Amino acid sequence: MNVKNSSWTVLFISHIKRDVLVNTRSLIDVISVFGFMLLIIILFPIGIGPTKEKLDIVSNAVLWISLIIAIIPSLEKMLQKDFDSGWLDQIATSPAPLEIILLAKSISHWLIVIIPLILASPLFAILLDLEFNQIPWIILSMTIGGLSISLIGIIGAALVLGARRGNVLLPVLIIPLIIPILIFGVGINEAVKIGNSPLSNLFLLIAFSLIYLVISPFVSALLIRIAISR
Amino acid sequence: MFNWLANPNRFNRITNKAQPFFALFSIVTIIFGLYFGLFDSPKDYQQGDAVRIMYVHVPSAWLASGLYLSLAVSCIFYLVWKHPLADIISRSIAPIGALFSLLTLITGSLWGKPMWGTWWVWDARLTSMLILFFFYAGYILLSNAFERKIDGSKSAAVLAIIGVINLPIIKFSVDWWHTLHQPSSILKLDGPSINEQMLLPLILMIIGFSFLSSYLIILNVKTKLIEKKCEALILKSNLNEISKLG
Amino acid sequence: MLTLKKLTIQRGSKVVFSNLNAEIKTSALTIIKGKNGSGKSTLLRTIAGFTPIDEGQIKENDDNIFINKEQWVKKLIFIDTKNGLSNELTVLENLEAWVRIKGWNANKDSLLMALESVGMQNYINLYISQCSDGLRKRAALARLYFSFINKVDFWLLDEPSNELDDLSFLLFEKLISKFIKIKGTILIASHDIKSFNVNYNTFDLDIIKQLAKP
Repeated sequence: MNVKNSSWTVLFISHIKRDVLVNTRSLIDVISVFGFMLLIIILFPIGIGPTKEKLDIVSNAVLWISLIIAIIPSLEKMLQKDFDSGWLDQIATSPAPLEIILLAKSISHWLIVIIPLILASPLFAILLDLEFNQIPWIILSMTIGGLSISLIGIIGAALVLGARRGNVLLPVLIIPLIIPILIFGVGINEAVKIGNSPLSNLFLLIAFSLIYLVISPFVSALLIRIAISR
Repeated sequence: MFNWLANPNRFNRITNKAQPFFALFSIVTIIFGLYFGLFDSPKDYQQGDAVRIMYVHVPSAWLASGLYLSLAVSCIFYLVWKHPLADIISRSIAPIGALFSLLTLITGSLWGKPMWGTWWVWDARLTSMLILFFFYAGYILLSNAFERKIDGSKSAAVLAIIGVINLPIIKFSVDWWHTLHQPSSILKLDGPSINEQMLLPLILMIIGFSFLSSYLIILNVKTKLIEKKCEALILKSNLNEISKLG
Repeated sequence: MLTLKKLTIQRGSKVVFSNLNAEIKTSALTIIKGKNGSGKSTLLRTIAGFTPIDEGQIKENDDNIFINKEQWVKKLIFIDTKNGLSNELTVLENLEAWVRIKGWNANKDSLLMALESVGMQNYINLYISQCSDGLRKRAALARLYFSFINKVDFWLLDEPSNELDDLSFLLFEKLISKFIKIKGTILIASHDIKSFNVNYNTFDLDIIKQLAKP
């Protein structure tokens, strides 16, 4: 009898691997998020005009906003497919708590969707004429903020699980929750731009990320248990 | 105690007695409040008569926030004790609260025009109120987005509770955002330091609006209870039809 | 013995069971019969811990099965018509992901043997999206093999044999016999019983619900 029961960590990591595998099989999905963000970033300077002064004021905000908007379509997919296929039922028979598995889901979303966008951010920064010294801070703030967006996103996805037009409803529901991340994320980059310390904004971003890190798995697990019981 | 109150017949009996009182009281206090506010209170030395919008704007803001708290409490009751009346109350509160937040935004806009020449201004309070409106809209949309009503009720209840937890976070970050960008003038849609003559109409209006919203909410609840009865009757008659056939 | 005591379950506004009392033998195969909508799936999903119980209890030998829910769900395998398979993964990858989520060892040998037990050894690298309904059901049923190398006490299967051809059905019966031999309990919900060449008890939900009426 070869019985070796895995600890939660192993289970956690293997679920991330599984999610990444499922969602990256279709290359189109991966590239389309990137393309969407690129589209928004190109449209802004064209709309505003190429003058450096005008772009300077909005470029950090444009970067963050395009990231948020580009991610929103992918949020609903986090759960809908697994719910429809019955995979969430199977997860409910796992020895690991649902909360842990949903945390794994948020992290895999962050890895699949957000990290590639962050890695492409130097390119976007160049398009928006941002200084090179800002890029490390941009990457840092988006990495932390991006995780919060995934954590909030899975709550949104769980709220609309089984709803009509859930993909339209989801953005309306999560926009209020994402606003603090936008404010502090841009705040960090703006502070760096004018030479102030970005630390106060950074610590606030980290603080709220930690809050979401705790409440997101529990709230989304609650919602999924409700969904499974239908 | 709540189970006792939650029996629909008992609820109807109690509210039937309370309703006219609520209606009357709200009309009376609002009339007095408006009188004192619009006519008998001092002009502001800076803002002139425009400050009188405050007597509608500030109470609306209070009501919008207070009703959201009661929405969240009602939703907690629903999720924990699963009482259907709690869900009906939540669904009845939401549109009223949404209207009050909308009223706050509109009066804020009307106030802003004579003050700063613009129809909208992104001050901390108005922005927070806009977000609160989104929370209300989200609750109303989500609760009606499911095939089976009960799914919408549960999901929206969780949303309302998330909203109330997030409200302080959002309020804080909007205030922070506001100070970050250090607007040139102090954009505060407040009256100046409140003196007594301003306090009275303000309080009257808040009380009046509270009674008004209670009255409207009770009306909503009763309507929904009647709808529920109708649905049950229709279901029963459908079942009778089916059993006659089969 | 699995005992249903005064079981009342509501789903939404519909009352599925009211005050149901019944007993289901363990270490045996029980086939749950009933009309469409009688609550077969709900009963299975309740035992699996998905649907909450409004009133009453389900007991296994006098212990409420949900006293320690994590321990209870660990030792059951639930397969319904949805199968829980991901289109984007192959048959092998799906099985591996499932075994991992159950916290079990997923070495290649046991995965291959599991797929062999349902006759899927030639299809291991086929994507589920390319599989017919019969292949998909077999891909899901391959999970049952792991009951023989890990601690599993219950199989809850909702309409497992509809898509199976004759050969696959024989393989399925072999798994059933093997599981009962090691004292496993199998609950199969089916509105259409094929001839099982295994001893089975019948649990007629319609009749039992009639008895529950006051």
